[in-house]
Amino acid sequence: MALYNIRYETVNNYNSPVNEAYLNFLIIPQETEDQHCFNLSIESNHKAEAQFSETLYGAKAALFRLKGPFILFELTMTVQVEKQLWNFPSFKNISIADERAILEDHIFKVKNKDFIIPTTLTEINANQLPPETFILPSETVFQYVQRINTFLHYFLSYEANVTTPITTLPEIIQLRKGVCQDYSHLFIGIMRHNGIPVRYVSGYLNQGKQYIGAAAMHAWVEVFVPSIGWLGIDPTNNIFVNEHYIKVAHGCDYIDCTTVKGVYLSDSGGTTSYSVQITEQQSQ
Amino acid sequence: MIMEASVLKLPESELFTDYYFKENTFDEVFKKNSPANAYYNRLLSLISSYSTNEFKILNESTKKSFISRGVTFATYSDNPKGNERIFPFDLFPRIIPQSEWRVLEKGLKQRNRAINLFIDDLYHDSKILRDKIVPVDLILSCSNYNRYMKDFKPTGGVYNHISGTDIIKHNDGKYYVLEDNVRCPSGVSYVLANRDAMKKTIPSVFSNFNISPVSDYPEALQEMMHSVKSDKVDNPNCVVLTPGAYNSAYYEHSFLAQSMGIELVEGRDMFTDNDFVYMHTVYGAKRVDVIYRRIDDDFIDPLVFRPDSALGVPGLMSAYRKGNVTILNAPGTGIADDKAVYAYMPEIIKYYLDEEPILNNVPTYRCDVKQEMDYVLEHIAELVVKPVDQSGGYGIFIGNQATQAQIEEQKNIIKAHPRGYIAQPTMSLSVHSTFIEDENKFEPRHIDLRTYTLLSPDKEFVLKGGLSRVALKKGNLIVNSSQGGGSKDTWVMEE
Repeated sequence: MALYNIRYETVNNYNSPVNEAYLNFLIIPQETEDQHCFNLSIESNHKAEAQFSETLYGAKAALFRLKGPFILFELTMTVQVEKQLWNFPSFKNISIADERAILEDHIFKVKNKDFIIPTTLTEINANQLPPETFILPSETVFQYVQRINTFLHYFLSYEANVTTPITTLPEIIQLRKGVCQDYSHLFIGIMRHNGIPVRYVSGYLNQGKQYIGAAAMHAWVEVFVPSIGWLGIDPTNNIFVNEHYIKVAHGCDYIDCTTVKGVYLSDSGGTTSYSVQITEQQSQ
Repeated sequence: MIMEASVLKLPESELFTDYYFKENTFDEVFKKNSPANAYYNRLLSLISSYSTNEFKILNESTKKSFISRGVTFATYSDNPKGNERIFPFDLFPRIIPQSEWRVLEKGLKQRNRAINLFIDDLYHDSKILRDKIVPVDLILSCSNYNRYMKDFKPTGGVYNHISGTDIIKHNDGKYYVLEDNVRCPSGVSYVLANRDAMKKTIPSVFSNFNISPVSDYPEALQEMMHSVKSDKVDNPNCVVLTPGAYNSAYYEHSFLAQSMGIELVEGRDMFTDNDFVYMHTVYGAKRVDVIYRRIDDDFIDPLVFRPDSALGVPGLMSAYRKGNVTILNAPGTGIADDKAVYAYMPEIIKYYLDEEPILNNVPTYRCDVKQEMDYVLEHIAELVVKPVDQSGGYGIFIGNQATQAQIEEQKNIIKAHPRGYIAQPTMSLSVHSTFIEDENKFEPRHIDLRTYTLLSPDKEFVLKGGLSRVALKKGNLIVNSSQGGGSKDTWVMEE
């Protein structure tokens, strides 16, 4: 068992007073089979209460409807998360042919259609993808997923501020640079081309492990491997998702998991900053 | 051409000088080697009683009346900022005899009811996909699938409250549905404006002809809006949501709001709080219960869809999914007017209603099916190629009007993105005598018919007639108003 203290802080300064704004936060760790939250606290400098709701895919959102005028909005969320230790996944014994038959089955596709349909951010034509990104007839889905994970880790180089969260796949392939969203979106685009359901995940990363991307909110993917089920993969770090990954939300792409969506009903520039702290308590 | 004119029995009027018969085309008014269609006789004798000069004067005064009433739209094809224009109106009305209309009306109700069931099924059990009537891969590649509609049933179970079905008459004399528009079909205000213009210009026709009225549309629309309100409200506050005065259809948005006596609002006039929608009024906040939105899915809620949208209302989708507001048309209806889905419409009607389709469908080749794409590439010169997710006549390729270079280019476009295109045989749109200003006489021009169907939980309404759109450019087959077409008043005759 791993135990984490998570602290999310954001400070938003506005150049001129804001009269009305909506800020929707997806920062609260999700309750899952292997992850439980305790002592959640959300505090802000504004009198508005958080309105909680559940996203389409079961994450917990906190919406603030802020009435002004105000020039500063600060929010702090703290929570403790207990996480089961990760084990290498156990496999069902399925032949490659059977595995492909599962993916091709139309009922399977109907059930998983949300995670197979391309979205604007994960859409790409087959002829724009590097040829080695297609599944080989001799490969199991698990082998394929690992191969693409490694491929992407080397195909892209990690560089901040060259892309935005809504950079499209053809642009990313051209740049060959980006951050965790871009690694994840490209991974998703590749999998969906092969009819493999895959979802975008956002969350926190243990900061004590020197993983790439741990300083901020992180993004990775969960892919459906017929012999295993949903499997977490982090193409930015080229590893399986383990107990150091604390999940907040999953969805079809970044749009479903955006950490903060803000809509301001008065035009006001400003500066926004946020920070996260994820510290692991020594296990008992 | 002139020789062919002799096979037509034309009225003795200089307005019809040199009127010619277009081979392989159905002329709505005239017939080869026989008298004109009997139901046009009285109208023809009225029109041919005018001298060219008199008709020109009538034509000019009608145009002015459109400008003075502000009946305008903007096009984007040649100017990205949009040009404000009047929608050219032709004074020679199109007549649909009652016997033909009865079939059309029945067919439209059937088709749009089936589309509603199809959308509901796709967002719930997807039985039609499980039963392999429609291939799941088709839906998996549909860019208009809206996951925020999954497992959600709108109030009253209605999705395509307002459907704009486009119908043509082919040279076999039969009507065909050319496409379904179940997102934000526009144009209905022109139907009413055309009728008005007609009444003002030639008032005598309305006392002499027994024409079905169109003026009941706003009332029917309002009644439908009330029928899908939440059970929790008695007297719903209904509004029309417009993207604003710069939208090409702004005239229509304001016309509809005004004729129903309800508010025309922009996104910034509304807000949400705890999953209810309100609008600002001079008396304070007022709850909004039903929204007829004329903005695309992507823009209705910046907290869910495009975060950069300033047109929508933050929190609208959440309020909608709680059942506290009704949006029409429902988000996500675009899966049903995808042109590749169109190919399956006869099967969709049979599947949900267990009835034979009343309206004909044009045979459709899907480019994402290997054999069908091969056929399309080979026969492209005789086909019409359409993008599956565009409306407004944009991106249409007409094989028999293309140069060799354009054909090669189009083939490459299809090959790069097969799912993006369908192809259909070139349908010959019927022609109708239309006054051509440069020639000062009538010439045949291609027309289609945009119809309007309203769905309530237990009732269908079809506007009697619709918008007959005219391709004003000689030989042009695309009649869409975005492409510089005009329109005609459309008369459904009462018996």
